[in-house]
Amino acid sequence: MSEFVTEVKYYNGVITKPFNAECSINKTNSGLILTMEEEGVLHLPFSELTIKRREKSYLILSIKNTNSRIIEIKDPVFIDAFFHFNKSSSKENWYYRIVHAGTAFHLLLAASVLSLCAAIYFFVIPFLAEKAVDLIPRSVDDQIGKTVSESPDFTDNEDSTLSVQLNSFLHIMAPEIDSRYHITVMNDDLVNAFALPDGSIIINTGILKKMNRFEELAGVLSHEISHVEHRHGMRLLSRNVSGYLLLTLVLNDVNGLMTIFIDNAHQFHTLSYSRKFEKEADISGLELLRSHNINPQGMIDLFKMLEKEQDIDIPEWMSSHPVSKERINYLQKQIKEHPVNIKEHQQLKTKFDNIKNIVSE
Amino acid sequence: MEIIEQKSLHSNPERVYPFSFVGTGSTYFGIAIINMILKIFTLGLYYPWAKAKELQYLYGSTSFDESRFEFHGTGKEMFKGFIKAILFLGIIIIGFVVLMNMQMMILGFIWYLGGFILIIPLAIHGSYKYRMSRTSWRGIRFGYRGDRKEFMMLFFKEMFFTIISLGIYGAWMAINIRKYVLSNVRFGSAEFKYKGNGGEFFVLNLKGYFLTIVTVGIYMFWWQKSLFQYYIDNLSLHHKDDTIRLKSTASGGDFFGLIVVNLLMLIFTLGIAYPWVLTRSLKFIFSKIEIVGNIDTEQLVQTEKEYTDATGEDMSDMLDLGFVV
Repeated sequence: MSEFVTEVKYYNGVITKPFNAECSINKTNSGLILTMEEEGVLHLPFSELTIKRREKSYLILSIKNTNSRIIEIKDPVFIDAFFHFNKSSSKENWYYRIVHAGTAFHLLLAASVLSLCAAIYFFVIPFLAEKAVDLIPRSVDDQIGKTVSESPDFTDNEDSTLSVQLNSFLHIMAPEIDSRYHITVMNDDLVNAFALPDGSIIINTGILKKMNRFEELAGVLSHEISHVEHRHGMRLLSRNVSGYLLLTLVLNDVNGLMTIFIDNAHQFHTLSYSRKFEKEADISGLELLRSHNINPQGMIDLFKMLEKEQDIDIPEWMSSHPVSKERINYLQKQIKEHPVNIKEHQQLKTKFDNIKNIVSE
Repeated sequence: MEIIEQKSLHSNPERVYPFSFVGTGSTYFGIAIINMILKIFTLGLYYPWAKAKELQYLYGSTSFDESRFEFHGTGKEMFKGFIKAILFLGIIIIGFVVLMNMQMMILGFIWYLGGFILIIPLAIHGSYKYRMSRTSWRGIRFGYRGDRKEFMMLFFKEMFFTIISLGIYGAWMAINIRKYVLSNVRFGSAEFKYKGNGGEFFVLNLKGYFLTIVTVGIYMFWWQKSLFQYYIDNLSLHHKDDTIRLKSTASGGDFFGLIVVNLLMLIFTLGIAYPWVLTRSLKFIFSKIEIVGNIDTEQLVQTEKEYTDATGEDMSDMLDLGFVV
């Protein structure tokens, strides 16, 4: 005779009427014994019982493979004994203990997992994403770039005379340059220039109008070429996609509010990443100028001009480009550290004057 | 005369059935955190198991007439359903891409739109069938007896009228679909009925819409109260000659308090309080439903079959349909 006996309710899966049963734990055969007037005696091994609901003083068990024969136990002492003797519920026990470990523990658990994810997000993902780019063939960059550069937005607005002139400027400046680089001049007063992953360099007439010396144009071109050389577009894309995947994975079922916060944070972090790329393009752009003996001062003049152009002072953390003052500082430092053997470039000068003439027409 | 006499002799006295939600935010938080961690480490594949755990907890925390509901759905079932649902959606999207590549734009769009319109009633039907069959009380299963073809015809008919009336018929559509679905829900040998009509529902929404604008949003809570009331008060359960009626006792002020506090909780904890918000909302809602009638809750009999295909359930999730129609 076992000392663990209690009154329980049994539902037979046929009707909602409760049957009062005397329930005891059978230690030798490890199971429950239910004794009822109407339904007789049931011997139920622990392995055949599924825990449907567990609280301190409430337990619902269902008899295996039925889901409909239910035992309802409300005696806390008996419930404790049930879990003590029921060795097949150890997995359930673990789960129950963690779920009921208290909010402080859960917050700690959540915080540690989130900081692990943050570490992955800030350090592992950028690293892996960059490594992944090395595995992606350059032809993918070309594909992506082409879908943009061949779109009507670009082709319709092109100033083809200027494009020819600029391409020839580029070939005089760096004859050895890869054939992927192609300059397109756009009729647009916005002071802007950018590169696409396939080597297309888009230059607005707006920025050409602001230039006074050929070294400035050489500076812009070398900066944009460096972006393509370092595959910044692809790296940004790879990093963005993988970072986003991680974030959605972690937060997919947290409510919208949290997602909005994280989304914006992700934007800011991406901006810091693109600032890093800009700096990289500046510095290797300088190297390109140096290797062709062009005065790098042109690049600095250009940024000074761009700074004047920008009326509002955007704080650095909100900007995709390094703040111009800081930019000028590190460029000057670079120039001091690596002096350039400047040569005369009569051909480039002539070409540039030619371009200026066409622009100002 | 004799028959009437007999009937009243046999019918049970009216009584109020206790109905409440006993779950706590902290326990639900624990479940949610463990689910989140497992989802992260399995790259999201744990999702169906996580959902099963959450539903088991929420159903098991709902107490009617001193007994809890049981949810028997498993992660495995919902995972299988998930795969099937992905295949369905995949066929629609692949078909669309193929047609687009063949330059058949119009056909592509028809395929895409048609596919999704077709999938919505399938998802509603499937999710009701699954959810009801996997829910039980004292071992007696719920069930959904709607006919798939019939429901799809109804859905398309209502959809058609809604489109040609530029959305005005939407109120009738909502009620007719709700009526069909809820009136086909069985609780063992007992049957649910939903009475309500599109006209009333339309007026209710029209009034709610304009008063909300006029009062710069404040009436929204009273509108919410009326919508809830229209849902609950028209619902009843029938067993033989006996009935149970549901009645909402929530006021607009109640909804105001609930929603404003919920929002504040979410904002100031950056969403971490979500489990508490959910449990307190359920507690509130269930405490505002009064259940009165004379059905003998010890005499409901097992009548509904088991149904373990969760495709519709997962499809609803993917389309973000939500469960309640």
